[in-house]
Amino acid sequence: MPAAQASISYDLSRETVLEGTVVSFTSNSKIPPLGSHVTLQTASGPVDVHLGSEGLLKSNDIFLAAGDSIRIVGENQPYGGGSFFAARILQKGSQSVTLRNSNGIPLSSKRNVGGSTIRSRRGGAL
Amino acid sequence: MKRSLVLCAMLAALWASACGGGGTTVTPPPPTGPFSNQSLSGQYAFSMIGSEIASSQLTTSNAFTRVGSFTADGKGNITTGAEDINLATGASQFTFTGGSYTVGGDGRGTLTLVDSSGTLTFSITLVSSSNGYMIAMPTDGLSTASGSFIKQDSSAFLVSGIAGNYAFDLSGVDPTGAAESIVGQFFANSAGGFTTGFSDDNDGAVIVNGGNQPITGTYAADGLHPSDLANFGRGVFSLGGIQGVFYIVGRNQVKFMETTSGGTLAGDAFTQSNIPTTTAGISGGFVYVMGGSGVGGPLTRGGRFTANGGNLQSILVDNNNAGTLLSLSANAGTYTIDSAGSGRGTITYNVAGQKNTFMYVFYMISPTQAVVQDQSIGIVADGSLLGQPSTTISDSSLAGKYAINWSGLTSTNITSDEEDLVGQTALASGGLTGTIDLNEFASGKQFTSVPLTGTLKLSADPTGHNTLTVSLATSPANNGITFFAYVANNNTVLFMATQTVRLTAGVLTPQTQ
Repeated sequence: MPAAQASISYDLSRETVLEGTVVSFTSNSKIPPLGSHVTLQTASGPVDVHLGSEGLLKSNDIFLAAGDSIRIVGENQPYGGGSFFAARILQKGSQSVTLRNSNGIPLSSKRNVGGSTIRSRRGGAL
Repeated sequence: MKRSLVLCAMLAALWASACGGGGTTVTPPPPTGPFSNQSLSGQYAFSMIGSEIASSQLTTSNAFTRVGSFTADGKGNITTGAEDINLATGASQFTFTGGSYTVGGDGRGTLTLVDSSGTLTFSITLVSSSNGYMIAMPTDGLSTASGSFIKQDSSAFLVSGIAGNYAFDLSGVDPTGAAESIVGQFFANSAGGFTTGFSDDNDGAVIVNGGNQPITGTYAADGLHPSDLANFGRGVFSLGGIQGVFYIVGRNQVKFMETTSGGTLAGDAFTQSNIPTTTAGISGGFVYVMGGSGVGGPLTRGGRFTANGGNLQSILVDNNNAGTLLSLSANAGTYTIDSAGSGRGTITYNVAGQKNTFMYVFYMISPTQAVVQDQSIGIVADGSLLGQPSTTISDSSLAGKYAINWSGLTSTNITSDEEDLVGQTALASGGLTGTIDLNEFASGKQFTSVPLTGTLKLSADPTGHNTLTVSLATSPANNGITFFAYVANNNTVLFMATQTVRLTAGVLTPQTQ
């Protein structure tokens, strides 16, 4: 078994494309790496895909459920004693969201500039 | 992701100078100790980094930063103040028209700040009458944040109050939502110019232009609110392409926050003193904790090393990479320091079996304090680098009362998101007892006056990582939260969680009143 790595590198030249059907979606995995995961049934078998920020999916109005057909661009990464598939781009139908930057760093959701006003959101909350 | 949460706690630690459900509150005995409302008196600058719910469906959280100033009258009242908030869409400024606070004997208390939008609620713990930690505690659960406050010196509320050489660390997310860290050094000419300086920008694991880039900038009173400089130490700045607001703490520290739409960088600049220009000027044991992100997601990294004439020895590095813990060691590495006196240095070492070299950049504040940035491949992270005591570390040497603050991500809540904790604990014979407040960033998950118990078990070599175990009497209980703890000078203890479901980092800071 290869040694676990403290840091892993993402290389666009190593990216592959997964196409398949959602078997299950976990918004808040307690199994590392933390974050949202989707199990995708591909032609070569089921693959556990780490999506990262569930908020990023929601903020782009992308919701995953069993049976959905999706396409993922990403890369298999060594992790712990095993590996995981790191998703960079997820496509569902005509919808697409970038989940990682070109170095594989997960992106976080951002406030919609056109959304409700700061003051109304503050309302005792912030 | 919320990488800056860690940094927030770490930087606050330098300058003395998220579980359960239910929301049940356990009523502890009244706190005892030397603190009271009188302990919080005068004008204080504060800064916080956190998360807020922004979507109309109340499902999506976003990072935000706030920086400001409040004035406490020593009698439980907030008389005035101002703050700027960046919700990643550009910042807004508010003026505090009132508020209140309480400080118990143990230094714990509450703080409310009132402005035109409503009442902001915080839990606080004083380290001394000059500084402390704070977390946001809105009962609606729509936000959480962690930060610190520190007494201001109003005699420095001038453009000329920012003068000399400073090391700085700004962190947050860039306009694309990727984690970003900028560390550097600048010279402020006391007349509104950052005339020289250098910075290292790790933007989503890209070291912009290779790092060590020259920067310049400006600082001034806010043309829209010119009296803010004299009243609150508040002004506006531009530095290396970052625009924002500053709040002067004093002549030795300035708080900065980006306000342009898109990014959420925030941090502090600290006056540099006695900066070494040779590797011989940096020696002895050092510890650090950094927070950030790797390809797997949120990441914390802590460790220690011994510096000696450009060589690193007794290297220990602990990684919690999105829930997978990996502790590594090495016995050889190198470090450098800028001979021109900028305080910029590098740390490089390899660990057997690891494909990637460990590479850090630091900017020194003093010979035993620095801000540090991880530039290893596939990582963006930063934090504090602190010298270790040359005297023996023992249960007895560490005994005393501490303010405790931690912040980070947890996956034990109903969603995977931020948690923030502040409180006070006594450490005696390796045992911890205290009381804390905890915000688990969900409706009904703000826990107040929660009993804390635990242990700080020193290793055979206590200069390395030690084991901190904390149990919180929330309902249900949070038992057996584990951390690696690193002892720095002045009994400051940095720590990072070692659990699969928790990526938090924090600090134990001795209370001095």
